[in-house]
This record gives sequence, structure tokens and C-alpha cells, in this order.
Amino acid sequence: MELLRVLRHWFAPTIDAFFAPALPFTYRWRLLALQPVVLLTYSLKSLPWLFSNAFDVILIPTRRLNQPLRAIVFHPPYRSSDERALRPIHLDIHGGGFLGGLPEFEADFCQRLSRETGGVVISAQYRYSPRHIFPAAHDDIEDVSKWLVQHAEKRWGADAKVLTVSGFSAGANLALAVSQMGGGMFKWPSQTAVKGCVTFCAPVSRNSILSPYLVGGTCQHRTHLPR
Amino acid sequence: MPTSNSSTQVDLRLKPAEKPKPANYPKQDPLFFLEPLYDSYVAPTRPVSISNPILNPIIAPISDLPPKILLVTPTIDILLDEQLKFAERLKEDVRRETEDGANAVRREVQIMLFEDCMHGWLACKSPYFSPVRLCKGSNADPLPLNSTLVHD
Repeated sequence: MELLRVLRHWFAPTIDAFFAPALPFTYRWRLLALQPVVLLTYSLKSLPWLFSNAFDVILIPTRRLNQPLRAIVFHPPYRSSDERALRPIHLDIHGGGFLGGLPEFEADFCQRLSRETGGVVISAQYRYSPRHIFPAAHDDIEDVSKWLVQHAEKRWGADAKVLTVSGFSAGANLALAVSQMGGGMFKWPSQTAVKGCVTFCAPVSRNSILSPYLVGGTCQHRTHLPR
Repeated sequence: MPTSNSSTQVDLRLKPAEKPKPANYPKQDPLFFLEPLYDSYVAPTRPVSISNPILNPIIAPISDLPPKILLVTPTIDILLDEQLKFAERLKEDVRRETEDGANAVRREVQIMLFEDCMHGWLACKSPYFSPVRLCKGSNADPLPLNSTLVHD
């Protein structure tokens, strides 16, 4: 079952190119062209974690019956000196131009964040275009956020009142949307308001990303996350 | 919408290909054939979604956004311009007293610029592949910034 889910996701561009209903032809052939890029980036990003126990994999239920979303959870290392009863909780949303991606895309970042802040860090999946158009991805992230708030304490000993979000690229757009969704439960003065948001390369105006090397990227200075 | 001004409105009407480009933006994108796909999430709903702040945080009222926001932004990115505008607008809003009492909570907005870095640069750790070299040939006029934290 899990293997089927992985295959369905890794080959989603090809499957959608042939079987997605009501897609213009211009998207279909481009999806086929996207397939090798997807396989390459997914492999590069997830194979290093294949035999790692850095995170747990969970399935988060959504408003759509029997269609949960895959998410990975990073637990902070246990510190005996830590007297805080509940840990902060952080949601990271991966990038991918709304076209695809894996929660593992930013596993490095999530792991480091969890280690250095002592928070529980979750990176979740959402639905991708062109098969699923706006607001599918936003709805998914809203559902994920609500589920996290409801289950933070029970499942991970985390405090839903210390919720922060981050996102990369398309995920950054979704991260900035969290506080605007949920009927006010994620914005001040609600107790479960998102307390802070860090975005990386955020599209903030009309969420279409037009950027070269979207999957490649580079950093000449090998600059890393700000301390 | 008390927070949007005319320049952001103009910005919203632009097609993706018409977004203002940074000076040292590369001329050729090897993945150019994917361009229409980048727009596919929102294109079918565009006439309506163009004014939706959930999709366009640049027009979201400050009271709907988290009290602390940090924008980490590479300068070689088509999204540079809109993020600079967004940060500027938010900082203005934070300074201003609003009627809805949004600033009763302590708010903070920062933008951190990384010179010579491209979109998604943090995701790539390979020292062998550096697309930035490709755009060095262009008449680059890089911003006088290097990993700068721009305070208000």
C-alpha cells in the first residue's frame, strides 16, 4: 500500500499527463517533460534519508475521506535539563512550484530547527497542480494546521499555543496563508495563532512562480540559515 | 483594503512573464518549457483569485498575518521585487496605528537579502553545479548587499 502510494506520487506527472481529466494539451506534454526532473529531484532529496531514523512518517487526515496527507515529524532530542513541560510546534511547507515535491525536500532544515530549538517540526505534503488547482493546496494546509493544533499535546507533548510556520518557495506562499485560514483560529488574538512565519523565496503576489533553475538552485557563498 | 496601494495593484495584474526582473537575472532558463506549468495552480481561477489575499499575501491586511515575519530572499529571483514591496508595505503597516487594533500585539517584519543567490539556493548543496556562474556574464549590477538583514 505504501509502495503504491510512493509510485503514484513519484510518477504523478506521467499519470496525470495521460489520465487527469480536463487538462489542456499544453500542460499534458509539459508534464511528461517534467517527469525526469521530478524523478531526479525526488531521488536526490529522499534517498539520503532512506535508512535514517531522523523522522517519523505519519498520515494526516483531511476533509476528504480516506485521502490522508503524508507528513514527516522531527522530534527534538531529549534533554534532561529541559524543564519545559510542552514543546513548541512548527509546521514547514516544502516548495516545488505547486507542481510536486516531498516533505523530505527540507528535511535538513527541519532537523536542524528541531535540534536547535527543541521544538517538534512537521513537514507535510499537499495536493499539486495542474491536476489540483487553487484552493486545493491551501485547503490541505488548512486541514493539516488544524489537525496539528488538535493533536499537538496528545501526540507529541507539544504546545499548540506556540505554533510557528515556515515555507520554501510555493510552500512559503502557503505558509503566509495559514494565519488567514481556519476562520481566525490561526491569527491574533486567538490562542492558537501562528506566532511567527519564516519564508524562503516567497511568491507573495499572484502565486505563480517563474524562476529559472527552480529545482536546481545554488548558493555561491554556501550561505546557510541565519543563526 | 486599507493596506494596498496603487503600485501593488499594478503588480498583481502582471502576467508571470511580465514580472520585473532583477538586473543580473539570467537570460535563459534551461527549464523554460515548464513555464506555463508554474502558473497552472492559479491560472484557471485567475479573474477571481487575483484579488484573494490568501493567494496574494501582498494584499493581506496586517491583522491577518503572523506578528513576526521574516522573509529570506535571494536577490537573483523573479520574486525579489514583490518581496521587497511586501516587506516595505508590512513595515509601514506595523508603524501605523490601525483602527482594528491589529498592532496591539507586538509585530516585527524583517527581510534578509542574499546576494548572488538564486531561487531555491538553500535546497542545493552541490558544489559542482552553480548556475550563478552562467549569469555572471550578463551585465550584472548586483545590489550592494551581502547576506544583509534589513531592519526597519
